[in-house]
Order: sequence, then structure tokens, then C-alpha cells
Amino acid sequence: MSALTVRIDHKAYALNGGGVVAIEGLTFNVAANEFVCILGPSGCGKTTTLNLIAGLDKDFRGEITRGQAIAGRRLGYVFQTPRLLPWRSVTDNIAIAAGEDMKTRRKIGVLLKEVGLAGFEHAFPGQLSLGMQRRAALARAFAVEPGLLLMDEPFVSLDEETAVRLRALLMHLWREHPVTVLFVTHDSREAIQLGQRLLVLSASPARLVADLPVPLSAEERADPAAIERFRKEKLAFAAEARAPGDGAQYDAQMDRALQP
Amino acid sequence: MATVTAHMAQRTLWTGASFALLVVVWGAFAWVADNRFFPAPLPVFARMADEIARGDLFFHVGVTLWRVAASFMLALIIGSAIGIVMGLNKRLDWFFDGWLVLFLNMPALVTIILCYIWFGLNETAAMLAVAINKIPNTAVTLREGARALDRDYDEMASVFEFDVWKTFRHVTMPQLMPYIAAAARSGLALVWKIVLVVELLGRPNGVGFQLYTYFQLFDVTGILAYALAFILVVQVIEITILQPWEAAANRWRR
Repeated sequence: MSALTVRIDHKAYALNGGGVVAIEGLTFNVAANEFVCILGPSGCGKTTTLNLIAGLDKDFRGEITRGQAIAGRRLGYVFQTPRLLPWRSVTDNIAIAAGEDMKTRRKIGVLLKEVGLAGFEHAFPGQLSLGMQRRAALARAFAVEPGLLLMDEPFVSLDEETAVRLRALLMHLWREHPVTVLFVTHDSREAIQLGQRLLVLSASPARLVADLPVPLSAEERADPAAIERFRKEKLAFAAEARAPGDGAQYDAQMDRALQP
Repeated sequence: MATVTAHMAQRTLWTGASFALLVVVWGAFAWVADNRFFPAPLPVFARMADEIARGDLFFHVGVTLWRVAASFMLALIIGSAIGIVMGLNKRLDWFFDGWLVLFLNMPALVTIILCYIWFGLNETAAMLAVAINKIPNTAVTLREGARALDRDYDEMASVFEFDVWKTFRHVTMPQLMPYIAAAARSGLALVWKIVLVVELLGRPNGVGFQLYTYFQLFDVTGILAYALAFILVVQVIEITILQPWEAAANRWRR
């Protein structure tokens, strides 16, 4: 059963008086409770894709339909920066989004413990480290009990150790609270570790280059060597299976993505 | 905590010493001048006590304060609304920018005279005149605030389905707060000075009216007594209302 059907025929931006094509003919489906990673070079239109799906940007040609599995359910979004309101406490930030009644507040308390923020419920975001702010943003997204969760490189600019811990936390949350996830990243290792499926995008204008299942077990995902093997076997192939006309630019970008 | 208190005590001591010196200098000049138009501090303080005892001072200061408060709120609300709308809408901003410059450069006296002529020598005209003088400043300040609103937060509010009121209360207002505080600060100082002029020109009470009366009597002691009283009141408002409010609004800053 399809949770999300995306068909973006054409999306352009006005830039310095001219137009820049960000996305051209991007089509894919996402199944209910599937964890899909969108992998592509920086600036290829990944964030734009998420914003179109979220309905933040309605100026495009195409159609995006939420299927029955998530129809009427709320949307969760973890942005590239935490985007917490600095003038509200951690709990208030989540409560404003999820609900301010006592029952929801208790639920938020439990969720904050789950993400390891027990004791920081009343702290202001500015008093937390970036990693902790990202945990709070994660808690906010799960607190609204979303049908669809969009994540835009939510673990960038963290040290690797913190990023690893947050990825594990995300997997834990996703298992505890099943939800359809679209996770955008430019890091192929991260994509393989998290995703059940990879959508590989070309350099701008974004086009679908490959749609790969990731049939790795939980143990393999925790093993860097297994991830490396998958990258060498499947993504090298994806780089060759580029859309016609993309040429050297894409190769260079993909090579960079494949470099250790 | 102890050091903070000690620090505060030390600062109060310095402020107190500074004011004491000012009074001494004033007294010295008055003694040298030896002129009835330059009274020494003591007679001025005595006059203040006398006016307080007769109830006149509190009455006139109270009336003026009421006018300041009413026109200040009026200017803040209308000015903020105009500023925010202009900050958010580029076309309206282009269109009305000229008007704003015009009103910014309109002398306070002109507005006051015109208001009295058009609307009569009454309370409404007086407050309107003061508010019109302050509205352009508030609008300019709040326009900057609205221009600086962060679109990232709007997107967050939209994704998490904040309604209009929620967005205003939790997203927009806190971002505008520093600008509103700045407008309030400069506004209070401007408004109370204009209120005195308005009272002098066409009101039968208030500090401005008293100053005018003493001016006609060449009673400098009375003029200084009222001026001093009002400065004190404004300082008290600043310390007991504006500063704590600003501190509370900025609690989240590190």
C-alpha cells in the first residue's frame, strides 16, 4: 500500500532575475511505514523535494498525493537546523507543536526521557549543545505522532560519535513508533545504515538515478565493513546508471560521495 | 550570589555619590549666582514637599502620567501595526515610505497646533497630537523588526500546524519583542516631553500647565520642583516596570 506518491515534473527557482531548474521529472512511491533515504550530492534539490512534499512550497508542476495509510495524519519534519524556538523551553517547544494539555505533556516527558533529555525539560534551547537540540527536534517530530516524517540531513555538523548515537536513537524511535520516513542525506554511509530503500538523485536538476533496496540486517547495518561492501557493489553501479545527459558533472559529484 | 549583591551595593554607592556631587555643584553655583532665578537645591526640595503636602503635585503629575500612558499605548499599538504591515509587505512599504518620512519630519508643534484647531481644546485632541508624533518612530522601529523575522520559524510553524494566534504568540511576538522594547524605551522619553508641550498650549492641568503658570510668575523654584518630580517619576517607571519586563522577555538569552 502506497503511503506517498510523488511526481514532480518541473520545479524552477527565480534566481538573480533568471530561472534555475531544481527538479526535472522526479517520480517515486513510498510504502507505508517504509524508511526511505534520498541520497544525492549537495545542492541537487533534496531539500526542495522535501519542502514540496511538506506543502511549504506549492509552486511546481506535478502531483504529490498522500495515500490512505497516512491521509489525515499529521506531518513531522526534522529540519537541517533544529529550528527550536529559543525563547521557549524544550518541553514548551514540543507542547506548542503536539498539544498543551496535561496528557500530552506527560507523553512529552516520557519521549524526552527516551531521547535522553531527562532533566532538561525546562532548559532553553540555547543552553543545550547542538546534539541535544537535535534530540529535542527529533522528539518534537515524533511527539505529533506523524503519519509521514520528513528529515532533512538532521545529523549534519555533529561529530561522528554524536551522529552515530543519534542514528541509533532514530532507529530505536522508528521501531517503537512506526512511521513512514523520508530521510534526505548526502552521506551514502548514513543512507545505507538507515534506509530500507535508497533513492539516488542526480546533480541539479534532480532526477532519479537509482532506486535500490537495502537488504541488510540490523547487525550488518551496525558493521562499517558491511556498509562499505554495499557501497562498493551497489552505489558504484548507481553512479554508472546515471540518467543520460548528466555527463561529467554527476560523475564527479558521485565520486566525491563515494570517497571515504 | 554574594558577589552580585556586593557588586550591586557598590554600584548604588557610586550612583548615590554621583547624585550627591551634582546637588553640591548645583548648590555651589546657586550660592555664587545669588539670584532668585537660580534657586539652591534646598528651597526646591522644600517646594516639592510643600506641593506634595497640598496635594497639588500628585494631582498634576497624575494627570500628566495618565496622558502619557494613554497616548503612549495608542502610539505603540498603532505604530507597531503600521510598522509590521510595512515590514511584511514590500509594495505597501514602497507606497507609504514617503508618508512615513513626511510624518517623521513633521515638527511636534505643528501637529499639536493643528490638532487643537481641528478637534478643539480637549483631551482627545491632546492625546491624538502626542500619539501622532510618536507613531512614525514606532512604525520605523517595528518595520525593521518585521523585516528581520526569520522565515525558518514560519516554515516550522506551518509544518506543525500552528494556528494564527499560536504563531503570533510563540513565533512572531518573541522575535519582535526587542524592537517593541526599544520603541517603548525611546517612546516614553519622547512622549512625556511632548505631553508637557501639549499641556502648556491647551490644557487646564498637568505638569505642563503648572510649568506655564510658574513661568508667568517667574517662579523658577516651582518650575524646578515640578521638573524634578517628573524626572523622578519617569525613572521609577523605567526601573520598576520597563527594566523588569525587558529582563523577563530576555530570560532565554544566554
